[in-house]
Order: sequence, then C-alpha cells, then structure tokens
Amino acid sequence: MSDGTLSPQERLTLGALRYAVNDEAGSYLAIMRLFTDGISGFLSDQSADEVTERLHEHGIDLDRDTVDQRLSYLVEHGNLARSPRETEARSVREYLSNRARYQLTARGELVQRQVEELLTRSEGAREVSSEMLPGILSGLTGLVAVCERDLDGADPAQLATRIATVFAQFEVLVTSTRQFYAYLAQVLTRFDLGRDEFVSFKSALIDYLQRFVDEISQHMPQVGDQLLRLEPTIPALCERAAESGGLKGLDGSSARRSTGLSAEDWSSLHTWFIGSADRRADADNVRRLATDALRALLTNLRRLAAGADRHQSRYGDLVRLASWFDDADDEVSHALWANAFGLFPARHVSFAAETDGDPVPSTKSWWDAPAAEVPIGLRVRGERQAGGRASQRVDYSTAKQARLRERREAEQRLRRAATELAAHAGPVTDLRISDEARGALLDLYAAALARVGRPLGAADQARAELTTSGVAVALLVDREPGSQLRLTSPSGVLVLHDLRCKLVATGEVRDPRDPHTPPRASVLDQADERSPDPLAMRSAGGEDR
Amino acid sequence: MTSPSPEVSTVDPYADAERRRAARALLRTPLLHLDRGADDLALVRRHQRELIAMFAEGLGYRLVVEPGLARLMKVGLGPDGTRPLLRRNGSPFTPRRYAFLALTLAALTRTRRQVMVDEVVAGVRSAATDAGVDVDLDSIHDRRALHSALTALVDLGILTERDGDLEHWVERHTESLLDVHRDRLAVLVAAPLASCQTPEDVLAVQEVPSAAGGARIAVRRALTESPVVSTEDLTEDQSGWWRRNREREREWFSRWLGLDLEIRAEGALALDPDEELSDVTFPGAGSARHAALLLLAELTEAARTGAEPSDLQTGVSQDGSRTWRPVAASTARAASDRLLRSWRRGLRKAHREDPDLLFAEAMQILVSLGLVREGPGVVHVHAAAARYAPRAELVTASGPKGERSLFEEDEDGG
Repeated sequence: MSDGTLSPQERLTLGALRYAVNDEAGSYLAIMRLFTDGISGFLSDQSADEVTERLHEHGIDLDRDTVDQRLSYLVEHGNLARSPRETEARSVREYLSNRARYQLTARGELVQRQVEELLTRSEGAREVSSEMLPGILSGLTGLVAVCERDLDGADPAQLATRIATVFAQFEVLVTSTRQFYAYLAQVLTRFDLGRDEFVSFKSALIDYLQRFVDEISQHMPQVGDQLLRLEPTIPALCERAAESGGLKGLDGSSARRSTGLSAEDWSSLHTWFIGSADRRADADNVRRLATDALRALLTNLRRLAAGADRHQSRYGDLVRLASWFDDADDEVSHALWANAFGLFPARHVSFAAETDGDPVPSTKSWWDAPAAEVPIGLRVRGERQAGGRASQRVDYSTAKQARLRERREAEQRLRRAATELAAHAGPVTDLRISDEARGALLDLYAAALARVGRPLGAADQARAELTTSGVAVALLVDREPGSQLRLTSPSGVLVLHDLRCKLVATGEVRDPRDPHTPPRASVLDQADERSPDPLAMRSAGGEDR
Repeated sequence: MTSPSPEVSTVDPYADAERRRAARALLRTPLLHLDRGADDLALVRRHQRELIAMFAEGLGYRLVVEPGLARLMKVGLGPDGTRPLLRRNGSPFTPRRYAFLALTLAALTRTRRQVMVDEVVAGVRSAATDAGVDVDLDSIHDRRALHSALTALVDLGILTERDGDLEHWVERHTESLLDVHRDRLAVLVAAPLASCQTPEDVLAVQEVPSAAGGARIAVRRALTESPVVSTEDLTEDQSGWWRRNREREREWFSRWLGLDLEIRAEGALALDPDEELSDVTFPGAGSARHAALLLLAELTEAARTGAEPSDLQTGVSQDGSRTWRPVAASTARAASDRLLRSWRRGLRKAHREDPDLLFAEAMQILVSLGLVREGPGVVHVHAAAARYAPRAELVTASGPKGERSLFEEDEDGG
C-alpha cells in the first residue's frame, strides 16, 4: 500500500465488493440478503434449491441454473463458502446437486453489511447519538471508582466488560458524529437549496444544536475530568482487564482484542473529548462546523427571501428538462432549447424590393409586387464572389498585406533617395539627381523652411533632417543673395535663387539587425498614424533587407 | 419618482441611435456580459429604463439588467426546430448533448464559485440519477457529449476556464479549474420551467389576453424574431389588431429596432438595412445560399404557373392558398438539378458532385427561413418567396490583371 498499489491479497479481498457493482447486482444483492437478513439469515447454510425457493418468495424468479451460477460467482469471490460435506461427488452435476449447501463467510458478511449501509443511509441526515454521552460518563465514573478503590481486587472479566461498553458507546457516538459531519459539509457547499430542502436542513440543524450541543457542553467537562483522573491508572487498568484471558488464533498468536483493552486505544478517547497539543477536541470541531452550517443556511434563507424570480430551486427544473431532452427527437430538442433558454438571435431576410420610389400598398400581394433584384456572382473554379450587398464580413488581411508592402517599398525608395543625397554631401550648387532624390530634397527644403516658420532672415539658418534605417542626411539652408541652387533631374530643372544649401551626411549607417531597432511592423504601424507632413518621411525603423 | 419623467430621449437623435443599437444587440445576443459585448452592455445599462419598458410593453420580454450582465428573456417562440445550439464545429447539438447541458447546469447550481471539472462530473452523475437519465460517464460517447455541454457553457460565458486543459479532457482526463459565473447562471433559463409539467408546456406559447396587449405582443414578436409572418397564421384577434395598426408599426420598428417593414397582403417581414440582425444571412454568400436563392426563384416560377388562373387574377382564394402555393416535390428536385446544370461551374465542389446534397442544403436554408415548407411529395412555397429575383452570372476567378480579389473566400467558407 505504501507506494499506492494494492497487494494481490488486498486486491483479492476487495474483489468481494464486486458483486454489488456488476450488471446483475440486483440478483446478487437479493441472494446475499437471504444469507444475512431476517429469518433465513439465521440459517447457517442453505442449498441452491432453498435459495431459489426463497428468492421466489421475494418475487424474484431465477431458474435453478442461474442461481447456481450466481452462487458459484459469490463463492469465487469469497463472499460465500460451500459447507463441508462427507460424500464424495463423481461429477460436477452431482457436486452441485442439492447436497451442496452454502454459508456466509466473514468477509461476505462484512461486505454485505457495508453495502446495505451504503444503500440505506449514505445521503440522509443521521442523528447524532448524543444519548451515548451519559452512558460514557457513567461508565468512566465507574472505572475511576474501581481504580481508586481497589484495582487489584477487581474482577478482570467484569472490568473488561465495562471498558468494552464504554468504547462501544464511544464508537457509536463517533460514527454518528462523523456522518453528521459529512452531512453538514454538504450544506456548507450548497447554495441552491430548494424550499423543502431548506426546511429539512434547518430543522435538522436546530434540533442538532439544541440536543447535541447542549448535551456536549453539559457532559464534556465531566467526561474530561473523569478521563484525566483515569489517565495515570490506564496501563494498570488495561493490564488487569486483560487478565481475563484472550483467544488464541490457530497459529498461536493472540486474536484481536476488543478496543479499550490496550492503553493506546484510550488516546483516541482523549483526543476526541479533550483534544491534544496540536489538535482541538473533535467535539469542538463539530460545534464549530454546526455554526458554519447555520451561516450557510442563513445565506440560503436570504436568497430565498430575495427576488421573486430566484426563489425556486432551479436544480429540480433543470433536472426535469434534462430528462425531456433525453427523450426528445432532434427537432423537438432544438425547439426545447430555443424555448427554454431563449438564446436564439433574431432572424431576418435582407434586400429591400425595388419599388422605383413608389410605395407599394400594403394590400398588394407578394406574388404581384416588385421583387428585389439580387445579383449573384458565382465564381468559377469553385471560388465565389459575394452577391451584391449581401456580402460576408470582408477579410482585410490581403488588403493589409498590400498596404504593408507599399509601406515597405516607400521605405526603400526613401532610403535610396537619402543615400543618393548623402553622396552629394557638402555645399551644393548644381545637382544632377534622380526624381526620387529630388523629391526628397524638396521635402527637406520645405520642412526646413516650415520649421523656421517665418521668412528666412539673413542670420537664420534652416535645417531639416531625413533619417532612414541606413542613412541620415541633413539639409542646411541660409540666405545668400546672388547664389543659386540648380537641380537637374529627369523631370526637369529647378533653380532656387538667393539661397545657399549644404547637404550633410549626419548618420552612421546602422546595422538593421541592431537589437535596439524596433521591429518593423510596429514602426510601420506608427508610421500609419502619422500625418502627411513632410517630416513624415522621417523614419527610425529598421529594414528587413 | 412620483412625477412622470420627461421623455428627453425622443428629441435626442444620438440617444435614439444608441438605444436602437442596444436593443439590436440584445435581440442578437440575448445574454450580454462583460466578457461578451461589454460595449453593448454599457449602452444597455445607460438606456435600461427605456429599454426595459420598451421590451416589456412592445414585445412582452423581460429585460434583466445587473451590473455585470444584461439578459433579454426571450420566450414564446413556439415549436421551432430551426434554431439549434451549435457545437464549436458548427453541427447542431443532439438530444443527448442537450440533456448533458441541462444536467451540467443543474450540477452547477449546487457547486461553489470555483470547481474542478471532476466535481462537475460527480454532480452530473448525481443529477442524471435524479433525472432518471441513464448515463455512462466512463464511455467515450457520453464524455464527448458532456464535453460539448461544457464548451458550450464556456462559450456562453457561464463557465470560464481559469486553469488547466479542458480541451483534452475527453481523451486524456486532464484537470481543469472552472469559474462559475453565478449571476449569469441565475438568468440563463428564460422559460417558466417550474410551472411546466411536460415538454409541450415548454413549447406552448403563453397566451396574453388581448386587453393586456396580447395581439400586439404576438405580432411584434413574430416580426422581430422570425423572417416572415403570414396573416393567415394570426388569430382573429391578432389580425384585427394588425389591420388597424400595421402602418403605424413601421414607425415603431424603425425607431426602436432600426428595421423596415415590408407589408403585403399575405403578411409582412422586417428588413434590416444593415444586414446584421440575423443569425442566417439571406441572401448571402456561399454556394449553398446562392443555390438556395436560385432554387427559390425556380420554385416561385413553378408556383406561379401551377396556380389556377382565376386565383392569379383575383389574388384571392377562399382557403388561404394565396400565401402558400404547392409545387410537386419532383418539380422542385428537377429545378434543383436544372440549376446545377446551368451554374455547375460556380458551385462548390461538394455540390457539383452531389446533387442530393445541393438540394438538401438549399431546402434546409429555405425551410429555416420559413419561405418554403416541406410536405409529403409536395413543397409549399410562401408568397414572400416571390420577392426575390436573383440575377446570377458566372465570374471568372481572377480579375483583369490576374490578381486575387480581396473578397474571395475559401472553398468551404460561407
């Protein structure tokens, strides 16, 4: 078990549970009940015929062969055993004939008891057996008296009986409390209690508080006192009680003692009533849990009281709806979905009819009224074009790619122009350049003058810079009467008078793979948002080639 | 509080537009919350007073507005099986999957605010026992069905996956931690289930007395939710109200919902100029919808010529057959095959190769729009079908310069 796997022996033992969960669990359970319940349960062994007959009395008709099979399965898994017999059989048939009798094994008995318990009371509220408390108290008081008077003179058998009684009562108390614990945990997690459930939870809790908490607070201190008084003498007490003699197993070892006869057993009693260093008393825990549960109930009560539309527990409604869905056919289930949840969108047809401006009287028939002309473009080769206005949402990705490409090309053109201008660095009077470089130069010129913002004075110098990914070039302009700049390009000649211009290559050529260079796409996106100002040509972005 | 509040909004076109947008958002997505439609939710909250009154008085819908959500309780659709819940792959839920959805919701009503998926499974097991539904959550089928339910609830915003791997829960039993949005869960069920004893009760449309605006509510709801409303389907009470008020209704629909009414002798429909207030776009893109529209034109033609001449002239008939005209199922099928021959090159590959599939999908679309009704051996065509005149043409795949169109779709798109 330590590594999480079951040993073969444990696996075999748990196999005894199998009859309760397989497909024929109903008939297996009925058979096991014959061995454990009522009058028939007192019979130590039963034959297959008797089993068949009794099953029939309970309204279960199984033929003899099936019963044989079922019994044989139960024998296989250790729930039943065949009674020892004297005569020797010569065939299977004879072996299984009515001389074969079956009896319950210890394991079978235990499993069936647990199964019945699981079936009957796994979910419901279980009353805490608080009436056990006075019994435990008086038992303990008696033991204390014996210990303090004359332990050595006490009858071991009687002592053992008393101890066993106390522990039996304690076990009932603990079991019932544990079940109540589990039940309360359910209340704590539920927020959607129906009215009926709320009432039952409420009464269970209030009864509980009244009875159990009262009694616990009444008896707990006394039980605790007695336990503390008893504590020093527990080893001696256990020893004395054990002198009554125990049963020896076949292999000579002692059989399991009933609880309470060894000193360790008493520690659990202490933990429960008094608590230990690192643990509160369980009784306290239960009390606290009850308080929490009450709070949860109050939350539910508030919900029940608020809002007319939500007072109903929707659980029941939805469960019913689920079964309707499951029984419906496709068509009905779609309709049920639409009506129960009402999440359908509105549905309309589109395209207004062409009325040539004349309103169509409401009494005109559709058969005679003007129709809406709908153009359909059927795309050959399986591709389709949206028909007229009734197009789908347009996919812009192709357009976006095209814009990005244009942007990239513009960048490259700009860089070429800047490179060309940079090659003419120095004072310029006569330039032969390409159209693109000319455009870039004029933009620079315009930007420079625009930046000055007023007519260029004698002392003013205008400056503008063009930065691309690889090249940066600046234009300096100042006033110089008499000088001129002659620009020659394929589209013509441009002469600027009374100006002295100078081109300066300002930037080093940066590595486009520079890690500080922002990624291309974001640069382009920023560029998209800029105004069409000449300076928009400034770009700090990296190029991809 | 006591004095009647002035109708400020009526003179503010901007507020009108906002309110219309909020109302349309609610009709399209009846449960808005912070994770889905937060912007629309803000609009709804801003105009909640007028919207609550409008939906209650105009459509008989309850609108619940809370800090984190807005829920329009749409009820009274009636037995309409054309609006299923879709799985993420687009196929409709099966009854089994719906059952698991309801069981999961039931289980979630009893859980804490955060659950592990195995706790949900335990809850579903126990709810299934309470429901008398036989489930085997160790089998792959039921686990898949439960998984569909869980993902649908994630998509609806009832559950949020906080951590883990719900995606591979079916095959690998992966753990997943889920947040349960209680407030949304609490408003999820629209129908008064507590008072329903049978499934038929859920599908039955609650009758509202005429004095309480029953006729108005019924007709407006039909116009708001369904594509086509036929006068012959209205009760005497409702058609009386409709005859008296139909012209005035144009104004109401346009003002509150931004819809244009097309009113004809046989009934009416609401057109959305923005073509967004619908879960089925029709006419729309895609091979099946194109085929449906072309088929509709063929059926309309067959219905026209098949009718008795006297009917056509007078436009009136005693038994109400003016609205629905029969076409033999074989004629409909022949029309479908004919259009496949004519437009073969423009249809999707699967449709080119499988005429049955083409016919079935086209008919399914038309039926879901209420333009066509299928009977044994006959197809009934609604008068509103005649409002469409498709002009189809084949378009070559590439433009003049050979570049791909921006509007091209994938083979399976649409």
